[in-house]
Amino acid sequence: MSMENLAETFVELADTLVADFDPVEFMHLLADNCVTTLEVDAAGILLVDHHGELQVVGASSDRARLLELFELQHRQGPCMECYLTSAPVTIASFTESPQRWPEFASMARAAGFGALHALPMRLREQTIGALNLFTVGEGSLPEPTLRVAQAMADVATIGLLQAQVISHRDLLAGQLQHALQSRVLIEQAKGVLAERMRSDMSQAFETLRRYSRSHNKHLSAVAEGVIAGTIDMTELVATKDTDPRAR
Amino acid sequence: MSGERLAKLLAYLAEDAAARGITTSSEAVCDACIRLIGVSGAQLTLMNGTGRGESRYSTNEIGTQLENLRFTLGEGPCEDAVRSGVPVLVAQLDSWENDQRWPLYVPAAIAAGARAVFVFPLRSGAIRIGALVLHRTSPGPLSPEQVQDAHVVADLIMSLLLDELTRLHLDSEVPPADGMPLSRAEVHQATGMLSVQLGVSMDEALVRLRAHAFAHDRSVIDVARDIVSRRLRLSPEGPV
Repeated sequence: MSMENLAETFVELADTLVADFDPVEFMHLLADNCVTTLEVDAAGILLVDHHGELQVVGASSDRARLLELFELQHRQGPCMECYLTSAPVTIASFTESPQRWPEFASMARAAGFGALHALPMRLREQTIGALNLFTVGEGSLPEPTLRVAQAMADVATIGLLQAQVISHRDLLAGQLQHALQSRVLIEQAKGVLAERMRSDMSQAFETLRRYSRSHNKHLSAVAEGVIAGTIDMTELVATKDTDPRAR
Repeated sequence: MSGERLAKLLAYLAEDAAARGITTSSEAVCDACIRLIGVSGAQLTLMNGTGRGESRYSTNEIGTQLENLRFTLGEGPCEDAVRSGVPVLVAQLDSWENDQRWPLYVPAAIAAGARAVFVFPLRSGAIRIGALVLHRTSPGPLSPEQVQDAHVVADLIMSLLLDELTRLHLDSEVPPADGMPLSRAEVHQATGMLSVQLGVSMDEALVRLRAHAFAHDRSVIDVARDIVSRRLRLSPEGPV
């Protein structure tokens, strides 16, 4: 973990916390930055919805196996534990027995991961979800890295709760709803694109992201455009990535 | 936690329906909101083909008047919630700020007897079918628990309304609402894929997905997985 990298990460995150805020893009940016800055192998951000289920709102990769690992934690697992207790949960090894969540552990092993850290996303009294960090190697992350990781989770929380989605009068319920609904919209648009392009979901998502970056439009706006048919498919598919981060 | 919240709400609604000798419907859920969430009235606005929306049901005269105001003035908390797709919670209508925000709606709504209005969109991503509009005749915010309950109730109303549409595609009866949230990624992805396969809107695609699941006695999530993995395709003319 380099200090330079870290400073850049926080500047980049702070930059997105301006008036025109896209919660889903922010969550994905954060997940990507976790991977590069913290030197972990995969990261995901899960927020709890009003049914008390955890929903993935941002992930460093759209790999089906990784998403399955997040989905499996809907109602139970290390991430839910972290959310409920507002405290970090570490699984330093998925191979040691006994495992508290055996199904989760065997899926994590199958996906090629050795260890997991879940960090709470909290602001004062309120916990809204958890940041998940997967590493291929086994063992706990060093203490300084975990402190930075917690700081990133805190930034994400503040970012999300402070976001001025509609107006200053709308409450937290509105902000979380906005993030969760944007995610639904993106999944629907991925389905539309995957069917049109005859691609898989992760290629469809990359196409959405590329277009969103190169046209400087919110991911959720691009998703709406794809669903409404107001974005030209040929142009969408032909869009080259202009952002070096994506390489 | 909220799994319990849903179970609690479903139990309450079942009891309420049994006591009144009716079956659970979106109307019955609106009636139940009054005691369940602690409001003076509840009203349901549905978006229809015209895009202007119309009232489906109102528990009282104030609710009906609020909907008329939304329709004729084209502004207000319900308009904003439907347009933005997120809840709009107005604990005190009578304020300078709200006057600025909805200059025509606020005085008229107050004259009709409302002092607080809370709107919860009926929405799943691109699918926006309307809003649940709650009001109180005295000002004051909903508690965080009441807000959560209202979210769960709005989801429940949405699945009851989808059931009604699903019935149009089925000979058999739709299973009773289990209130399962439609929150799995595969369900949203499959809905998007189906909208292309069938050449229909996202709303219609979700209805067809559910109809297929019910007709084949399978869970919606299983059918969605088959569609996403391309083991199953639905055709525009084919049987559900």
